[in-house]
Amino acid sequence: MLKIEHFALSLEKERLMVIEEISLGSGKKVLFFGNNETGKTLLLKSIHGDFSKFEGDILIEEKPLSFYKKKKQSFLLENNTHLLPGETVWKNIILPLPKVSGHIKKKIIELCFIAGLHEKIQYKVKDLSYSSQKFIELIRAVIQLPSIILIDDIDHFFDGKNLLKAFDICEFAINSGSSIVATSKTKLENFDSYYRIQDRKVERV
Amino acid sequence: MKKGIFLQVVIIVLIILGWNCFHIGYNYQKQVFENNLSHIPMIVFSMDLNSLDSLFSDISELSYIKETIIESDSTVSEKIIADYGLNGAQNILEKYALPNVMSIYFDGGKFKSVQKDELEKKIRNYPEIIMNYDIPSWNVSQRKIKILYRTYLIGNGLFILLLLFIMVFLRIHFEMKSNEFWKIFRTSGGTSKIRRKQFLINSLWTSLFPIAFIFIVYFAAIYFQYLQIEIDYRLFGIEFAAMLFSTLIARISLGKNI
Repeated sequence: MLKIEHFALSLEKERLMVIEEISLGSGKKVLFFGNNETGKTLLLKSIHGDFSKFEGDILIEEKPLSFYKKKKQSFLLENNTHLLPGETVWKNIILPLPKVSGHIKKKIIELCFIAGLHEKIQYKVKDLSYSSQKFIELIRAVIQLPSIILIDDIDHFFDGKNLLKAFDICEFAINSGSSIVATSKTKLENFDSYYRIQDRKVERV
Repeated sequence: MKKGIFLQVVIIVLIILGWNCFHIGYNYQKQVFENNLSHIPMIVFSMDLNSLDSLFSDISELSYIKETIIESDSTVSEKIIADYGLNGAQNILEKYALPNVMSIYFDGGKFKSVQKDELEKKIRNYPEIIMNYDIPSWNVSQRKIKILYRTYLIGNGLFILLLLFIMVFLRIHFEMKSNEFWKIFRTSGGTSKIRRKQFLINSLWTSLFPIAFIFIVYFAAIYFQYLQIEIDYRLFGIEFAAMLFSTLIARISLGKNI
């Protein structure tokens, strides 16, 4: 699913991290954890194709990122929310979908139920909490079944209880072969594999 | 249809409506000037009726001549007697030889300087024919038509500029305003071709709808005889081309934003 080879990330001539090789199978949950300014966000942006000043190769389903230039196979949930604040929860979730079939509609409602948004589906996004907004973004990503869902600083917007809900939501995509790559400051539970970023090195824990 | 597009369509419909009213106004005023010209006949006299007949044969096929009336000397004297009540002077008039008269009426829209010269040249081939025409009135009418035409051209130019400015400005304004929406749409997984498709749909609304609407209104007005003055259909094509050109400029200006 995801393969990172001879990867080196630098910023302002300062080396942030080096990855010799990481392979991630489909339907897996991986956590990269480390302190601030270790390059976690840039790593996710590199995988997503939003940052290209790195050395090495990133392959998604054995194809380089340039292959996915027009139609990205990954979703990146950043710290900033990318929602239409004046629109409803429902409108924001279905925003990128060309059409909403009955099956998709049912699934969205089911995922909203898990997230505790089922009664707020017609609420405007601006009236919801930051955590709820992140759930909306997550549901919107999951429903599209991408190859990889990238979640930056997952511990920043999901506490222990909400993290479990987020995993439940992700389960729909994971069952369809999507992988979850998340970052956090500390090691969190319920991931399949862990990588620690420390002293410019990425080590499997 | 979103509010932004609706507003653009309304503004463009108003501009196109104004532009077509300008065409109608021009055609109406031109018709007035040309009708004035048509009502001023050229009078030619000759003692020899055969000369007038020959001249008639020479000029009867000319496209700018609307009507030619020949009155023989006897008809002329009868007319004078009848018009001025000169029954008592009938014997006196009979003693004098009156000329034969030919009145030439023109198609005001076609009787320009070149045609006038051509006709005068033909008349000069008959030295016995005397010509009388109100040249000062003709000159004034021609000058008015020329000024009207120049004003019409300038007006059209201004309408094109107005349309370009308004359309380009509005399109860019509303597209830039929707940038944030499209950014979120893109990051949420939507493809950029949807935005390009939307731009195309919006372009059809702002270009095709106003011209089609105005054309239907115009056609209905002509059909139900609310409007007597017709417009050259090609002008709708020019208006549509101006709108497409505006859309093209807006698209180029927006560049990679779309």
